[in-house]
Amino acid sequence: MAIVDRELLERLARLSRIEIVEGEKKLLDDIQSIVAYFDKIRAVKADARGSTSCIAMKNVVREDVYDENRRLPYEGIQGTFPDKENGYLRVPKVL
Amino acid sequence: MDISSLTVKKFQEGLRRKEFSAFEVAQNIFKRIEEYDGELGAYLCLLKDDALRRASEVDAALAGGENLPPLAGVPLAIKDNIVIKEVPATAASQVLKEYIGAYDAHVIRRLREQCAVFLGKTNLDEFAMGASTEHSAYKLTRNPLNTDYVPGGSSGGSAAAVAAGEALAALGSDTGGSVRHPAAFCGIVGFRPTYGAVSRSGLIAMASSLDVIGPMGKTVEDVVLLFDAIRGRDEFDATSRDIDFSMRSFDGLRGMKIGIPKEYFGKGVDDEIEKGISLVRKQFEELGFETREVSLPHTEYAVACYYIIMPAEASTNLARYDGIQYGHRERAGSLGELYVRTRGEGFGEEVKRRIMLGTFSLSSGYYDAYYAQAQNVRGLIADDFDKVFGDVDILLTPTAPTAPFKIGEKSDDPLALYMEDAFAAPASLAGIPAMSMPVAGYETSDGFPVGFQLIGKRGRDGDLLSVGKLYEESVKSG
Repeated sequence: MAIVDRELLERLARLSRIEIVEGEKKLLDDIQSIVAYFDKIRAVKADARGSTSCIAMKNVVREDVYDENRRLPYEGIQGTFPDKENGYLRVPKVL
Repeated sequence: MDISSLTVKKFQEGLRRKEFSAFEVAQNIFKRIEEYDGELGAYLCLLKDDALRRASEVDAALAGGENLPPLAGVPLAIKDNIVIKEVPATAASQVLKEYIGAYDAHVIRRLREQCAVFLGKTNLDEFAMGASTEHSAYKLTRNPLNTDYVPGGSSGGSAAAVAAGEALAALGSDTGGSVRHPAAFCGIVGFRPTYGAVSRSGLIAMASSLDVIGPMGKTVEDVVLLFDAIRGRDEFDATSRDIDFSMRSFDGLRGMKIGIPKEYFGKGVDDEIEKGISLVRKQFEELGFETREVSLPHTEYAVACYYIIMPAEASTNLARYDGIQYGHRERAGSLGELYVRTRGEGFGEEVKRRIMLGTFSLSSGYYDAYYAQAQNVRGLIADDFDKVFGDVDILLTPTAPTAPFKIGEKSDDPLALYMEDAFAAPASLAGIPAMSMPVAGYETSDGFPVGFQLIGKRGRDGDLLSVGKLYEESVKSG
């Protein structure tokens, strides 16, 4: 059974880029009990099978050509930028 | 005008017979919303000016002698995880509080073609994660049948709006029961189509292999009308496809066998729920259907399976909420800080819990034991259904193991809320259609209706809806 401790919780928080501010103890307790519940599934004898046969899909492709009809209106996209200048999206320094 | 009993079908007939105008009906509904929604909390945002304008356009077209599309003027509520252009879409989360839709979802485009009217966006559990609509970052939605109780979730706002006469019908989304569960709690009809039957383009993604948009209404007939308008292949959703959708005549249904899976009864199921389902079984037998007990042996693993796969997919789909391109952005000194603070502040507890559970199942050292194993078990659950559908044509089960519970009763117990999906999750995992509708002539001792679930064969949505429609018509006249 997986041990869900504070160290694991911190690792998960780092991986998912989420800052845990309050209620860390409750979050840990909740995740511990949920993961403990998951363990019932480990007892099932299940051969490796592509379970997505229940939603099996063929890969869907299209010609690699520009289609004006597939273009979303730029104004709509730009309208959602939290911080912008001259039509560009402004972000903090990356490097 | 008695708006509260008006159905989409009656609206269609009344509009064309000039008993009322689309404008009048919309106006009446907004009056009801003004009167009741302060307490009910079904809506997050109202589109009154636009709705009344669109309704007037329909009236003008009708007066001009034009032929109207079937859903012309029909006032609908839309769950706030479905994007409408130039309208806020929050998914009931703080992380999207400033987001305005940049485009129309496919289902919205289809409804616009039909000249339907959008009343507003309805409340949900944040990012559709929940079974009570108590996890919205904005407001609480109450059950219209008794406002001390939850409406179910996650499409609680849509269900409450329809049940309270604040919309004639609504769109919700169903990943692990989010259309069926609130439909059961509010006493209306909620339909989860076969996976892929309705395009997910414009649905704010939660779990991509499980998400489905589903119609909700007062009657099966209404739900059929709405489903017919939105279904079909869309090039913007590669998993969407046309399914064979033809409603069967009642004579064509009579040979059908109804299976009652034994694993959906017994321990953990309220007595009053079981009594309700026994009644439905008898009602179907009186209508000439053969019923028989069947077994779906892997049912008990469905919740664990679902709560491993769904958070895993959600952790991926919610990675895009990083404060960069849209939505809320926290002030921060560095890029890294921006990410963790935006997501830390913007996401509610349940969302954080599920993202971290998903991250856990997908992380190195745990992937094989949990995620890969859950996918295998998913296959077994789907196989269970395929096997029984060799013997029977449709399954009858309770929609939820419990009757509606009081607000606050389960909100601190995530696992208890997860168990609400015990009977809804299996059909979701298998990608097959399922519908909840109220048992006729039955109430719990608290005065709530009981929802029963019909589960059908993949791609045979018409059969499922036909059986539901037959039940509805028969118990009305019977």
